[in-house]
Amino acid sequence: MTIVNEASAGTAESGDARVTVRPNAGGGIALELRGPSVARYGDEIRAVALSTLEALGVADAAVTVDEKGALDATIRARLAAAAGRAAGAGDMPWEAMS
Amino acid sequence: MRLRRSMLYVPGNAPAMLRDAHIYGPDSVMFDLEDSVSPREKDAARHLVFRALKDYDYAGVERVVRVNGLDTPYGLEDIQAVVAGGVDAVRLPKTDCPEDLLAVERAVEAAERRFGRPSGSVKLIAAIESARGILSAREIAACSPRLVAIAIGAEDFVTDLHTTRSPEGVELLAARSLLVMAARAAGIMAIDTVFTGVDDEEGFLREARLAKQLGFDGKSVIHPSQVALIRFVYEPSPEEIAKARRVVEAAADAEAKGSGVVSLDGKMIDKPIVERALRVLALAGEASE
Repeated sequence: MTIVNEASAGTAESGDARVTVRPNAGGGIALELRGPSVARYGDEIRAVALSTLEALGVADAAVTVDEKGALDATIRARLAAAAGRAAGAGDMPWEAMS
Repeated sequence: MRLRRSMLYVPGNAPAMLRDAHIYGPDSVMFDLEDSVSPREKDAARHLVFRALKDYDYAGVERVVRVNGLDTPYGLEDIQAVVAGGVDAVRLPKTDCPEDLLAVERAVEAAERRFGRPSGSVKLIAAIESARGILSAREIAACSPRLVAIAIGAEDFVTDLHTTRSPEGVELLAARSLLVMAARAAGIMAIDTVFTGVDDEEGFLREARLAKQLGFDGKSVIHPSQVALIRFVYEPSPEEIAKARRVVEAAADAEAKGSGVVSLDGKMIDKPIVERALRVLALAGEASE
């Protein structure tokens, strides 16, 4: 999946996350985390985001995760939705996203 | 026997509600990708529901997803996502004819192959929401071995009928009865429509009791508070349970003695009475039919 434009998914509501994905051609993954859980769970959130991007086959992207106490499943879902929008992708590789 | 007394709607784009839906004790949770999700959020809701199916433990509560119809740009990808996620049953809205359901069946079958799920493992539920659909209910109910229930969606139905919903529900009587008969003829379940007055407990109980009396197996509900009310409506009384136990015991005794005639307290017990008693015990959580 190649990121070709900027796109977001999610909300700023409690229990959710707002994720933005931008092109970062040839620059690998640049990940910025914000939110109340980052100080304590930043490493876990980072691992969740990186594994989600890997499953989607995203090699280059600038990603911002602004979380409001979101569970891992919600962060994965919001990141996948934002990446899909930023790639203009129709079919998702559901089997890869276990 | 799996009960479907309450099928609790959960908007597909609400992360916190998706996580907690089962804790209110519904028989089924129904994650919605259709009317409660705006067109621009369809993809995001699909991802949330996929992850909920994959990652959360709903403690044995049946997980149903209401997908968008295959006549929309979203329906086919919805089916891919929920079958990949491990959904128990796909609910199709606005089913007008058997072909609507058969098209979903083919898409589900293909998705099962793609994602390595056993053929036939994903069940189907068809919601009927038009006069044409109600008049085709018999054919719809019998058209797929995956179909476990048919449901009536009243809001669209009364609009199609050029009327509105009344507290008594007289405008729905014929449709509800036809739907239950179609379900029974096909050996599947009948699920009643939602009651939208979340704060009107009395109105909800009146409608749920009517649906139960007409033969419905359960009701779609839109608020967690309605789950307990449905349980109350369908719960047999201690007297009904005690009588049902005696009927079933008498039938078992007669069978053990090789007698074709069952009697209890000097009265003959017919097969339908034994069937009703078994159903009472199933609703009481005591027996399987």
